[in-house]
Amino acid sequence: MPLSLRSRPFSQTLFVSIVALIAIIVIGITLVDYSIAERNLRDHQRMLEGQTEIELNDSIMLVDAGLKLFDDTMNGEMERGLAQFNDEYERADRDASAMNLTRIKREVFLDEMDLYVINASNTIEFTTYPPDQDLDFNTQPEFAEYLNRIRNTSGFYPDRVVREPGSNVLRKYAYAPTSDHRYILELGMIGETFRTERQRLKYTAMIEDIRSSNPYVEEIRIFTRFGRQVGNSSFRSDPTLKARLDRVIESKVGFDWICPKTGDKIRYKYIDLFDADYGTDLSMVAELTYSTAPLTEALGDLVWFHAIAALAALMVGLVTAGIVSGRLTGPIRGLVGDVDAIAQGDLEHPIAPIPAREFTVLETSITSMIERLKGTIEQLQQHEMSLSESEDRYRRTLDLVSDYAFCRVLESDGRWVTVWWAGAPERVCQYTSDQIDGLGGWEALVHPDDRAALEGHMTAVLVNEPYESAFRILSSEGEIRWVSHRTMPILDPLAGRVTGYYAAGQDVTDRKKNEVALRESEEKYRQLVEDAGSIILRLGPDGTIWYVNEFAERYFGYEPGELLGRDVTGTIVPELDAEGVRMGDVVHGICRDPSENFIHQNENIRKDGSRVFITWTNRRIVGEDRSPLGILCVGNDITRLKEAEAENRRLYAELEERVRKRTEDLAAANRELESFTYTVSHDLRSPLRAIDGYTYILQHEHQTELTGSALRYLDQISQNARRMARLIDDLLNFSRTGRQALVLRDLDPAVLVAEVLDDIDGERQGRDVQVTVGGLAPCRADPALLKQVFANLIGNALKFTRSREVAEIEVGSFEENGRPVYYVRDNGVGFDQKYASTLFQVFHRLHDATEYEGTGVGLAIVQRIVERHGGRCRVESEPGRGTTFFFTLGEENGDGAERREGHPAG
Amino acid sequence: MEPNGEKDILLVEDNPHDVELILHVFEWSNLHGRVRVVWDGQEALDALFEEKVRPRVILLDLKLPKVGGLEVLRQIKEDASLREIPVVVFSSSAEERDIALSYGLSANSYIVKPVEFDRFAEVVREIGCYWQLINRTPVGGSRPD
Repeated sequence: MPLSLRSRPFSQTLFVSIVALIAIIVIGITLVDYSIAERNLRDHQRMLEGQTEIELNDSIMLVDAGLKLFDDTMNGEMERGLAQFNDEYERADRDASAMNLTRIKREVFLDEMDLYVINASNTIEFTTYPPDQDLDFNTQPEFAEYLNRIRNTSGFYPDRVVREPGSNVLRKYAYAPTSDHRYILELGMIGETFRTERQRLKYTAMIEDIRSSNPYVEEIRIFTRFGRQVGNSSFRSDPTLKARLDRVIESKVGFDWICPKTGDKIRYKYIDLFDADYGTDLSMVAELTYSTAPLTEALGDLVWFHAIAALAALMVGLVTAGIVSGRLTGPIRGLVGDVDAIAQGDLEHPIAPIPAREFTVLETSITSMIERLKGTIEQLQQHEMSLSESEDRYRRTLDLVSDYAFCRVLESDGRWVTVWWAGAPERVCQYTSDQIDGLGGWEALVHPDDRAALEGHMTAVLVNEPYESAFRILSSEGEIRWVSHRTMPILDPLAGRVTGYYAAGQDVTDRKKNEVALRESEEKYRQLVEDAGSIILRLGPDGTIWYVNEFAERYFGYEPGELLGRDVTGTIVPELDAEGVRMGDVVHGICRDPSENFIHQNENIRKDGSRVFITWTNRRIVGEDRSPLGILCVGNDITRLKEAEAENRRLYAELEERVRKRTEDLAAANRELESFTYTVSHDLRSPLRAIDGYTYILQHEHQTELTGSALRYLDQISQNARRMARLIDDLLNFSRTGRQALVLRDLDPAVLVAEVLDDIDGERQGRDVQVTVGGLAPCRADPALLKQVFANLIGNALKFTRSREVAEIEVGSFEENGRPVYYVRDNGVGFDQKYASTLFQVFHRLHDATEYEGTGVGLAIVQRIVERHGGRCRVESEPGRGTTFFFTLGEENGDGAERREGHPAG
Repeated sequence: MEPNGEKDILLVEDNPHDVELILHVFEWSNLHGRVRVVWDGQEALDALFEEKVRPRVILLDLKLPKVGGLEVLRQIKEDASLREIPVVVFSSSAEERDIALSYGLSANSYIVKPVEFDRFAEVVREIGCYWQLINRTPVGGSRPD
């Protein structure tokens, strides 16, 4: 399409659109209106047709009715006349031929009527009107029928006024049968008498009225049944017309006929005026000639009218469209112009405001776009500046860090051209940068065997990949130098391809030498590790085995290399150890552990599934840059040790169990003993009480019956019983001191000693007893038991100083070997030192009971108590010089006896 | 002192020798007629709970057949009508435990029976005098005075 919308001005398009819209609307309306109008017109025409026809029908009928009415007015006269006629017939003796009709006509009817006599064959036999003589009515079947009907009845049968065919004279006939029904008498009134009166009712005028009222009707003609036009005496029919009329008359139905000449529609309607009461059927045929001309004309007018209206509307529309589109597109053009100006480069060009919301938004958007554009342009400019700065810096940096560096760009002809050099390449290869350029670039210096490395660089550059490699070059003096060479492509983002590259390198000849040395050293190290007799592993930070030495492989039963790369957990470290600990977690813990050294033991597993114990020393290895290189693990088998430990523990547990049982048994035995002694002592005492009791009673209440010796014997009995009681008490006491639990407290013995002295105060009565209490070191002991010790010792001292005038008892303590030693000294009777050891035995006495009472249990009790406190006691004595008892109280917590009693050494 | 034959002292003791000796001593104070002797714990309970005797003092030995002395003591002290009768536990046991238990059960006194008869006699006599003559029982106590 030559006219594309893009190149047409918007206003045009808009204009055309509006116009098209208007046109469519207008045409649409016009067509609709026209068709409505046309339909209306046609309807109107039809309606008018219908109306006209109805009116015609009605009018004709009305006229006919009028005529009928008029006609009937003469009925009376005619009836009388027929009666008279009949009288004449009678007077003639019913002989019709005998009647003198002319005389009757003249005399009776005054020549106003014609007389007819119709015989039984429906023929006019006699008449005064010669033209009708012998007229056979059978030629008119309907009329004959009528005659036959009336013949056999009696009555008067008037007929309508009719125009006589041929003569156009109006006549009114009436019929009546003779009284003998042989003939029908007919009278015919001559029309002249009523013609004028009848004149008033004319069809023609009415027709004219009707015709004029309907513009579509060109002509209306009414025809009688005989083909005569009503109101037109000079009418001459033509055959075609007659044929049509006859058709209607016969069929009694109208029809439409298009005149071939004029094309007019001619409608024939049958006006049925038949009245059975009258012989003559005055029905008519109406012929209406409708002309289409008026309709066509009207329609033509309509079309013209509408066309003009449409045109006018279109005109108006065009103008309006033009104005509107102009008004609407004006601002757009303005906007377009503004934006165009901006696009041309004038960023500051203002945008004229337009009064519409969308345009305002547009304006705002464009403005902000421009702002952003300005900003971007500024940015780009800055960027460019910094780029070139950066390139400068880059170059200077390369200068510093590399031994040599250069920048090459690809020319349009495919050649590489060096743009700049940095560094001092002559330091590396003894060529200056110019010389190198002259040789064709750095490639020229590469050792023939290392060409491949250089190719790698170029390939990488072309695919925009940085590349690094080390290769040999030949200096100008033919010396081989190693360089580490790095290339970095330059990508042109707009062009989308590499346009150049940077290259930088360093002389690494020395480093290479070092590398070799390092490798050799590593090799030595590896050898060492391999030959070591310990398990050596290196693990990655995630527990992967990076290295395992031969010894380890053999130890764990793996093939060489089989463990490499596998997770240490699941291979040599079991998933779960014997105690169900998840070893994997332990391993990871070790791997994460920040401490440098980490020594631990754990269960490991051989390939064959057997469990072993290994003590591991784990050390994190870090590289020079402190990056972790893994964990070095050195292990030593301690399975044997572990087994021994386990055995130990088991034995210990067993021992503990045994000890516990033994203690329990002992405790049980103790309890038994306790209850036993209690019961026994109670049961032993009762009889003694009885003995003493009865003895007493005998001694004091039956003295008179007894001899002196009997009384003395009784006394002995009593004394022995008491003695036994005391023995029992002492034994009980002794037993208890051995068994009862120590309640250790920090105490001052001086308090206990004071109590004891208080208790024995009674025994001091009547004696001179000097008691000296020296400093007593505080100790930790059972107060009750310690008191008993002092009680027994002081009691003894008191007892064995009885012989002295002045009893001297001394209680005190001194320090020996860092511990306090308590003593009780008396100036009593003393004894031979060689018996000292026996003194503490139960019941052992060195003096008989007669001299010094006592059961011999007291000192045994003292010794037992002291020993239970972890201490020792001893005695020093000299006969006649007194006795000193010493005792210590063992360790601070006095556990000695307890230890002996039940708890084994740990 | 009731002259109407009411037994003021209930002696609960299973050892017949001890009983004889105690009664012998009470004889010296003319109290032996007021002593009702029961030979075991059950008899003691029967006397107190069935016969409903209400002595002024009960001398109770601990080691008794059938029902033990401590049990008798406990029942006496738990009964509202018997609680106020003073109970002297009179036992040959000097065990700390027995003493503690007895006082724990609200014994009014605990006396160890000495083996030496003279002391024994003294104790008994003193008991008799003390409870009979010196000690006051609450007014409206265990039985109408």
